[in-house]
Amino acid sequence: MSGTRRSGAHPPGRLRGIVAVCVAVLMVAACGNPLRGGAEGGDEGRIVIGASDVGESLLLAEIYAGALRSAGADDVTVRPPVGGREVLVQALQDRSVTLAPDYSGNLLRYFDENTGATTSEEVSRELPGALPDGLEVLTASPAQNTDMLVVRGDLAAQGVRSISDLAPRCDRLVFGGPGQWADRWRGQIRKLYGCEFAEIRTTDTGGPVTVEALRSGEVQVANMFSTSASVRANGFVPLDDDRHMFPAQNIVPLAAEGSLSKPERAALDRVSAALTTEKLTELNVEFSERKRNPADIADEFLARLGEG
Amino acid sequence: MSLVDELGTYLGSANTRAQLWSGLAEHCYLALLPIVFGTVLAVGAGWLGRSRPSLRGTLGVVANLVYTVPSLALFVVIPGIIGTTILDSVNVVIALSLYTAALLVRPMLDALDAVPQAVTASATAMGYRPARRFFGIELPLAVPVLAAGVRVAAVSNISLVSVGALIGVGGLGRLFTDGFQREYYAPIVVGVVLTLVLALVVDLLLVALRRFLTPWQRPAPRDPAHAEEVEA
Amino acid sequence: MIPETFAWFGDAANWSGPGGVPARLAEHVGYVALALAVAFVIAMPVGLLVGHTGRGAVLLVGTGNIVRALPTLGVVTLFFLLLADSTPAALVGLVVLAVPPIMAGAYAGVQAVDPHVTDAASGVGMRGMQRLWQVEVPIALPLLLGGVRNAVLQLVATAAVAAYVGLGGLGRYLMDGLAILDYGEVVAGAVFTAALAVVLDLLLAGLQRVLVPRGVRLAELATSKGST
Repeated sequence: MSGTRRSGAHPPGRLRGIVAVCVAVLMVAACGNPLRGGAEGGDEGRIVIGASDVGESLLLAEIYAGALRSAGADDVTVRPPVGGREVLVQALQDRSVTLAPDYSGNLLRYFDENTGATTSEEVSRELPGALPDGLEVLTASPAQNTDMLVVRGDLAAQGVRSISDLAPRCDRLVFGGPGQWADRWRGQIRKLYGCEFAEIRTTDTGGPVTVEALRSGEVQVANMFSTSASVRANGFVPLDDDRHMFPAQNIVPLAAEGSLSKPERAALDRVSAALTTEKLTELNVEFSERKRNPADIADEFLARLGEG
Repeated sequence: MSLVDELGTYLGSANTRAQLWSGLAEHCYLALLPIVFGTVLAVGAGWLGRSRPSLRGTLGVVANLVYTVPSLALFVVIPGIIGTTILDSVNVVIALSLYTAALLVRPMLDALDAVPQAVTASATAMGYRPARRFFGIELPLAVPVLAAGVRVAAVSNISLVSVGALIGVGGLGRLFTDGFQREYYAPIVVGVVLTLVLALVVDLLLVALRRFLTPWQRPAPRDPAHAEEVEA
Repeated sequence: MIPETFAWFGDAANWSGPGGVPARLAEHVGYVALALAVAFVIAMPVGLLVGHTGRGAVLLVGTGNIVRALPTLGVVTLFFLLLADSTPAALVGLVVLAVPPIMAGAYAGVQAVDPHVTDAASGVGMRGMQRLWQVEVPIALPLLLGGVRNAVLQLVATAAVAAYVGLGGLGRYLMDGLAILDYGEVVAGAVFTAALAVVLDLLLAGLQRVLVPRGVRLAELATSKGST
């Protein structure tokens, strides 16, 4: 049977198939590879900054990013925000994130439930010792963003101005807050104020679901945050924490141990020092009310500091 | 502020535009890489189904099962099975590859079945070993059916990658979480539009690819293509 | 992950009360059922009509493809901003995303009816609506029900995603658990959501078998055998 098969001949379909696969792979490769993982920072130079799902966290992350870039770090990315402290701590410990903004008081309570520290100084003193291996904090900022219990205007008008005022009515009220709130504060609020809510509902971390739930009356008391723009924007009334249940919450950079160089740490310390509660509240308004891009807000803030 | 004004301000920021580009690129990658993997898996399953007919039933059932599992559930369960961290974008790629494969297995098996007996018989008579016959004859003939499935899978993947934003994975999904968190329409509108545009572009490219791979089919007859469109 | 999951399942608190499995499961099924009913009422007539008359097919297929390409998270968040309330927003989103599969199934089903059969039906004296309901729809049932099955899968998955904007149901376990990295809760949510989808799909498959007239089923078997 001579002549039926020329040497090296392929059925045309096969060649096209190979070409098609190559085209497909090139098409995909052209989109770029976002799967580079790892954020060992420091000598590797790759810094990944994490943020929790509270808007301010992303804002602070962008500020840190800007500061680090001007300190010479050339591969700084900010991860999309997700979840809460649990997620970030995990990511910091497995070093897929180098750095994240956090709040001193809650961070301390997260690792040391029984701490009695309430003022900024007390918290700052105890914090480094409470952290597990692999984590470290840099210098805390004077700016604070504390938890607050807020109520709608109509409840405040009935004379409820502080949590002590709220306490006798708690068992008739529904509370809305982030998922971890019950674990963190239910015991404390009962001990300090004698307040036990009829129901503790999970809404979100001071975000739109919480705002909507309080606005509609689905919950009567909500956990929100002192620098948040939505408290005033919606006419909610924060209750005075007269027995100091909530500790000081200074903004503090939480980092994977040993991942930042000296100039980088210095840049972050300068930025932390320059941040005040008023300034942070202003930045939050820029972010959530004026809806500006957080990177833009960060650039502007750093430029005014002379860091940008 | 009207929506148009809002969009203008939103897109006016250079940082925003840069983020949109990189989000689009990531999204594209996360949606299309699984198509490649999924198709390879489905071809493998097709090969398995041809060489071992007893497995066909099982393959069909497994494929159906995988496709039934909701995306978010799959994204969070995969880390437990293969040991990645829960927030890794690899989870999305693996989940979507599985979906693509699941979607393509049934059409693959059916298409391979539809190759006329006479064709496979003459190939064997000409001396084609099973592998050569599979890749040289049966697979190319299955391409039109596969292509229809791949188009559906591509559009589906492009939509599902956005859900990945809930586990912190990149792509256009973060436009929706951002818009939601700040009660801001612009990112959501932009995200939806970009997703649709991406789906359209990818669909057109896939149609072109199919035409390239099946020269014997041009021009495609109207009615079967129509029915094919609808089923897709 | 496995030990935490077992711990979660073993905790009695997770099985009672408004946050317990029965309540969340009921919520989830409720949302799916409601959205399915509304989507069905909207999509079925449109799909059947377009398939029967043959007019507007391009519009139907085009719209269906566009809606199907919409990102679920985008739709749900957009409606939340528009309606400012979690449940209505999520439900509208669910309905919107369930319409294309049902519409496509109805259309494809009626379209696939052998023209000789419809011809014969007119020949016997059947008028339009009679032909539609007594001949075309029964023959279209497999594809129609297939569309409903697809819609149900889409709904179960989307309802889980809608937990992000505050909707109840099984998605809450996924979202709340993810926020605090409670692997037990997250996996439990994933398992229940997947199980619900599988169970509903099996139920619908059974329904398909029951509802499709024997004659149609036999005809399908006969034609598929004769294709090669």
